[in-house]
Order: sequence, then structure tokens, then C-alpha cells
Amino acid sequence: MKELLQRLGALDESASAALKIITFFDTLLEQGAGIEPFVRGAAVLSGFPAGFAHPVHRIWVRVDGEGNRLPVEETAEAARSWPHKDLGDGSGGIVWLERPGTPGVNDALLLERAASGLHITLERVSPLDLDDAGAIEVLLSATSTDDARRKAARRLRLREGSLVKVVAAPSDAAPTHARSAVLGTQVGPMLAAIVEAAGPDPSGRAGVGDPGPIRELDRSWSQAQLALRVGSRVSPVTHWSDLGALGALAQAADANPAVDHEDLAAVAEVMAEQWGEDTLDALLLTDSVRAAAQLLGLHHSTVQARQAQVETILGFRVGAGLGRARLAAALVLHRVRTVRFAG
Amino acid sequence: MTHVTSSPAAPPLDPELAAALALQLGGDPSPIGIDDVAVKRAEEAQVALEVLEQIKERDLVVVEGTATSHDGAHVPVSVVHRKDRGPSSPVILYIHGGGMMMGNRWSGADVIFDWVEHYNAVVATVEYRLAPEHPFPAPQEDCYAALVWLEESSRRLGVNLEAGLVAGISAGAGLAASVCLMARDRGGPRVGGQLLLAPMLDDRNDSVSARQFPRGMWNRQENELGWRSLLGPLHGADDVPYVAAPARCADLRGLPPAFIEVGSAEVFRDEAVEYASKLWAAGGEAELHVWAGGFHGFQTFDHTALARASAGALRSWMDRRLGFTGRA
Repeated sequence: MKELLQRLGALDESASAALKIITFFDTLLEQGAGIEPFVRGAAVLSGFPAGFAHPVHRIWVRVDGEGNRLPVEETAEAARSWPHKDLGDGSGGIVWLERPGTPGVNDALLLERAASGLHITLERVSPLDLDDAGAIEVLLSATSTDDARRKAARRLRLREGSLVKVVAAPSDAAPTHARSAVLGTQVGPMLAAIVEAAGPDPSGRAGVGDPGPIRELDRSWSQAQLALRVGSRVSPVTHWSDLGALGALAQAADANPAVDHEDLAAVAEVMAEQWGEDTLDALLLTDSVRAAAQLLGLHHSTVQARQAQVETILGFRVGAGLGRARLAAALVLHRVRTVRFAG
Repeated sequence: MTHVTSSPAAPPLDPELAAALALQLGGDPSPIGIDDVAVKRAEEAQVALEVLEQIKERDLVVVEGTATSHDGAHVPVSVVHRKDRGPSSPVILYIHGGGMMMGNRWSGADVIFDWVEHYNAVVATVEYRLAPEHPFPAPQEDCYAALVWLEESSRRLGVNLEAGLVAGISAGAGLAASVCLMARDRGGPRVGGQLLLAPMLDDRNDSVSARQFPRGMWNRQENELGWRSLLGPLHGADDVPYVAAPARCADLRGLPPAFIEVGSAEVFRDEAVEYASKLWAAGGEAELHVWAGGFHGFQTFDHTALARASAGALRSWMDRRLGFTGRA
């Protein structure tokens, strides 16, 4: 051991020394070392006393070049006359190296790696400053770190390895799931709920994303949002998985607002009629005028007349074949473009 | 019934401990029987009042909480810390001992004070229900409820259970091991380590060490009484659940790192050693200390070299687990 310490202490000023320093602190981090090993590492690698002071966390550690604990003043100020590095989190935390005279070539790197390791470790052992809503936001954001996701999953008591999906609903819907929060989206606030993959279908208006592992919840969330946006009163619950290529179409239109076609203007014209939206949905969801009429609770002759009116406005038949597909696509594009949610 | 077997040869007591024991107990006390339980509990209730006085004198903060057990019972949990605790002060769930039948959440409070002062820790101590009035699973479920309560309250209390410990002494250590198994099986809160001091793990009470100590501190008879009280009609069954008796768990995968200590001269020696071996075999981490000549509870004779060595080893493990050396 003594020999190893000597070797570490004699780290030369070459690039290979720098690599060793990086490897050393990376390994401490990977293995989940505590605070003190980072300080001790800085000390034994340099051969000089090293210290760490964190007034907010009330932690003061000082270790000599052989790894022994040293007494330490409970202030960070005295340390500033030594080569030092601030933790960079605005907390006043500082790590320093008590090397007299000329600083070593690798001291800056050493302090930087120690400070970065200490910062991450402190974050790991600190309480989660997260409520359930915050944790949901972390899990649904595409930019969260893995560590933040893991903590958020713990907060929400989601088992590691469980399959989950997101259900999006209008923000004024009654929350029926424990893990739900109202989140802002590009089209207004929505109620987002994280539910088990095998959970029952939601009631009321909802969009359901694909199930997957916890770390892919952000994808399920964007799917759920789009699914909600393309749903309607007649067809309140939309599963992303049922949309198929229409989902891809919705994504493309969402990403590119310039997507347009004259069918969209025609659909908008139908939608302007008080009966328009329900009629279009019913025609798409059923195989006959009679079934559509039944769905809407109307006489079939009424629906037949409306279908004729719709087809006049659209300029194509919607009862079967390509016309139905064309209507479905136009309706999805129209809704992606126009559906917004109020707070 | 007339067949008499002499107990097998047993490791001798540490001389310093033997002398202290002779002075304190005046020889070989009669074992605790069920009739003594009420008396012991009353004594412990008195001690608890003294502990509460000490808490006042030390100017510590106590936050009272209530966990809800599996059957809806309310389980008191007291959270103790210094006024100058830090935002990353480690949290420790402490489970008292007493053979599953005795003790209260202030029993063995010396360790609570030690952790609070030394590590500036936030220590939660749980008033689980006791056997025989409340047999398995009440004590186990109450302790697990305390763990869940701690996690649910973690934001309010400002603690991070994942970096914290579950700790227990004797029966409390057995309960601590149970709590970790329950948390694993139920996808419950994760902790950073389990501290098992002289753990009571095996209801079969038939290991070599159990047979070596028919008399003395927490002997085989008393151990039998503890398990009988805890298990009720389950006692002696082949299929006692491992949540009641962790020694019965075949699969110790996925458990937090353990510190296990035991004396060579106590009933729990072999079950403690076996539990550590099974943790290693399952790819887990355990640090095992078997203190030569230590009887059950020798750690309380803190003037002895053996008790000091044990305290030092425990402190060293906690330093490493918690990531820093506490105050001297």
C-alpha cells in the first residue's frame, strides 16, 4: 500500500499523470464513493494535505498526503490562500490543496476533478428537492439526466424495470391517477398521468402514449399529447398505438406548421357547422350511414343528408375507399393545427 | 423428558467482559420468562423518560410522526436531530431490541445520541407493536410502515433515504433485515445500508451456537420465548415466512450492503455468520465482525477493550457508508 501511495504521490507532470487522475476520480464516482474519499484522493495523489469545506452542508474535511484526517477550521475563507476550486454551485463549497510554493502542473486538473466529483456526490446524497409534480416533469422531459430520472422514479415509487405509459387529458379533467400533474405544453396545459402499462383505459377525453421503460417516458408523453389533440367528443380516448401512420403524420405536421393542403380548408369549413365535427367523426368511425346515425343518436336520413353536404364541401366521397383515408388524414392535420387547450 | 444433555463446549468469555458481568449480575441470573416481560417493560418505560430528559438537556429537535401499518394501526415514529443539522445529514431508521417482546423506541438511545452527535444524523426511531400481544407480522409491518413513512415524509424532513441506513440491535436487527427484504420484495424504499448488530434472524434456534449457550445473556431459552411470542401458532412450523425470520430466506439478492456484528459467545453467532455468507454468495456486500469472547449485549460494557474495538469497527463502516468521518 505504501508503495502504491508513493507511486501516486510521484505522479509526474505528464499526460499519463492527467489520465491517472481522471481515471482515479471517475472510478470513485462510478463506485458511489462518499465525500471523504475525494478529498483523500486529492491529498494522496498530490502528496500534500487537501481539504473540503461546504458551509451549506456543514461539512469540513481535511486529509494529509498519507490519508490521515487533519483538524480543520470550520470556515472556507482560510482555504482561499491555497490553490483551490469552487464547487461551482453557488454554495460556497470549496476544495483546496495545501501545496506550498509553485503549483504542480496537474493541480488544477486534480482540483477540478475532485470538485466535480464532490459536487455530484453531494447531489446524490442530498434530499430530493422534488414534489410529485416536479418528479413527473423530470420523467416526462426529454432533457433530464439519467440520475434525475432515477431520483424522480424513486419519488414516485415506480419500480425499476416496470413498464409505464403516459395518459394526457385536458387540464380540467379530474385526476384519477396518483401520479398526475398539470404540465404546460405547446398547445396549452394538460393533465399528465404516469400509469402502469397494463392499466385500464381512462374515462373522458384522453390520449394514451405507448408503454415502455421509465427512461422513455418522455416519448410516451409526446405521443399522448398528440393522441389527445387528434381525439374528439365522439371518440374521446385515443391510443397512440391505434393511430399507426396517422400518428407519424401528426408528428410531421406538428414539427412543420407549414404543412398544408386544400383539404384542410375544406375540413375547417365543415367543422364550422355546428354538426360538422361529430358527423365527420361518426362517418370515419363506422361503416355505414345507419351505424353513424346510431352512434350520433340521429335518424339515418339526417345523417345521409349531412354526408351529402360534407361531400359537396370536401369535393370527394367519404363513404369508402381512398376518400375515407383522405378524410382521416385531413382531420388529423386539421386538429394538430387547430386544437388548443385552455388553462 | 428425563434425558439430560449437557451443553456442548462453548467459546470462553472475554476475561474483562466476564469480570464486568460477574459484578453487574452477580453470577448466572435466571432466564427471562414470560412473567418478567411486564416488569421489564415497566423498567424500560422509566428509562424512556430519562432519555426524553436527556434529549431536552442536549437541546435536540424531536419531530413526532405517525406511520400507518398494514392493518391501519398507527405507529409512532420519533425523528431526532441536532438543531444545526445540515441539508445532507444522513438519515437512519433505528429499530430497538428486546426479543420482539420488550423495549420501546427509546431503548438503546445511546446509539441514537451517538449518531446524532457524531454524524449530525437524522435518526428516526419506531415504536413497533410487541409480541406476544401483537405477533407476526405486526412488528415487521410496523417497522416497514415506518420506512415507507420516512420516504413519504422525506421532502418535509429534508432527508434522502437512498443514502441512509436501516439499523437495529438484536431483535431490532432482525427486524431491520426483515424491513430490507420487504422493501426489496415490494418495490419499496431503497436504503444505502443495513446495520445489523447481533441480529435475531433464525426462529429454529438450533444452531451450534444456540445449543452452546443455554444460559447467560439472551440464552437459548429466552430466544425460544422470543420466537414463540412472535410467531404464535406458526412457531415450530416448517414454513415460517422469511419476513418473520430472515435466516429462512434462500435468496438474498438485491439487498443493501450490510454491517453484521456478533459475539463469538452468543446464541446469534452462527445465524449472523450464515447471513453474511449468504449475502456474499448472492453478490451482495457484507462486513462481518465476530468479536472473540463477546456475549450478547457486550457492547454496553463500553469500558472494555472488546466493546471499544466493536465501536471502532462500527464507526469505520459508517464512515465509509456515509462517506465521511464524523466529529471526534
